[in-house]
Amino acid sequence: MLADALLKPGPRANAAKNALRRFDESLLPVYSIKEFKAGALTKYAWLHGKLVTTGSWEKTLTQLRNSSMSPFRGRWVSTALEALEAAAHQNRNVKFGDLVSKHGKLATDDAVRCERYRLSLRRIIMRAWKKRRQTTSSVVDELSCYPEGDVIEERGLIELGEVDCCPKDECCLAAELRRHPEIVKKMKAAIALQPPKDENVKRVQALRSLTRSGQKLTPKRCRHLGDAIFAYFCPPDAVVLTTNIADLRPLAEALGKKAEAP
Amino acid sequence: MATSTNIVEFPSRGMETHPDFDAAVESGQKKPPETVAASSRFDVRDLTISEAGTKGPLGLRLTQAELYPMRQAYRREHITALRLLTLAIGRTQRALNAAAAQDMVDADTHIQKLQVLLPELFCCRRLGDGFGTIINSLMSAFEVLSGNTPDVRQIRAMNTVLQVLKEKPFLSADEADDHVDVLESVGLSPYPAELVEFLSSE
Repeated sequence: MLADALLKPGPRANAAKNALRRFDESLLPVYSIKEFKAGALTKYAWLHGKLVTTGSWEKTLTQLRNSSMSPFRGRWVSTALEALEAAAHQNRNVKFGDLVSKHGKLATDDAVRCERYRLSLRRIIMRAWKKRRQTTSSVVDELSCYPEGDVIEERGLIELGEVDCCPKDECCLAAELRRHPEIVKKMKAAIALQPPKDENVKRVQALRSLTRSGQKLTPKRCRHLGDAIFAYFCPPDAVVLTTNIADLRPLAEALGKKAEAP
Repeated sequence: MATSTNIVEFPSRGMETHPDFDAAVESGQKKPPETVAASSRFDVRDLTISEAGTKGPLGLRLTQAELYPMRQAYRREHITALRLLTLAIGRTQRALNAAAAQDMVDADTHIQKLQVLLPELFCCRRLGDGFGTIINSLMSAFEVLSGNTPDVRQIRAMNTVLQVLKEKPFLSADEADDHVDVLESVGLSPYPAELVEFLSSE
């Protein structure tokens, strides 16, 4: 939800904001901010970095499609990517009219697109981080082990800083989660009924670590808990608003709570 | 030029007239006020002022640093940008006047003339990311408008940000972000439509 509201200008952002307006009060757990930074914001910063380092939109597109480490690989609607690639290829030598004689390479279509997208992404990322605590009526469940830090621009690249929590011993949420092993058990049971995808396997492992003695809730496990945190900490009379309704609804319903899509 | 002033005369070899200006001013017509800006072909470095400064007839001594406090002031794109921004501001003002007179065709004509200035303004983006951010936002706004004439509030917002940019062409990207908010607040999209579609396709 936070990523839609802040990182996807246009219809997606409007839908997210309108959904929030349906409620008298909206609460944003800091865990959402942590997930937002480690997930969508990291991907955007990666794309921004590619634009900076290649200086070419066409080369960036190739990286998006081919790079095995691309965080976007296989997750973006391919038609959108193909349309962009086709446009970039078709126009790679197109100049801004006769401006190339005056401004050189700066005026080629590839350089102009690259710069326009870079500047746009930079603004989207910076505004998103600046407004992260302004999308809801309040921010709740502060995490003592998570330093939100600042997002800055350094040598042209966007530096997100720390994206995980940094506990001295273990994640600050662990103690609260261990107080109600029966809730943890219900969530494990709900996930077991879901498709056995990687995300669910890791979530069950993280939940299991809470009920086993001697196991710590590490920053990695904390991140794997993901939607389980939202279901657990959602107040009983509230609704979890999420774009990931398929994963969250079974968890919420197992605890007698509600989850809705925007 | 009168000798009683201390203005240094520009060397004539740098004073080529921009062809656009000539085309715009037909014989017998009064030259529009917006065309008085410096020509892009004029090079400020042509000024014969030494590093140590020069003494005018009144004994005033100006160093280069005082005349041009920022090194970028020497750049060709700075001069081009100022010239084009002057034109762009003039266009928005004329569009507003035409809209006030209910002449929407005239208003749209001026807006079209503003729109075609933007690609070259974007080529002046070496002035800084703040400059690039604002021009990119205006280009995107027009792309999303898809040929529709912006309304009076939107033209006024464009006029406001263009004036800011002319006053502060070296503004930072963060400062520019705040000014782009003015465009967003009147319903103009500051991002390229195809990028928005791409980012929303996940």
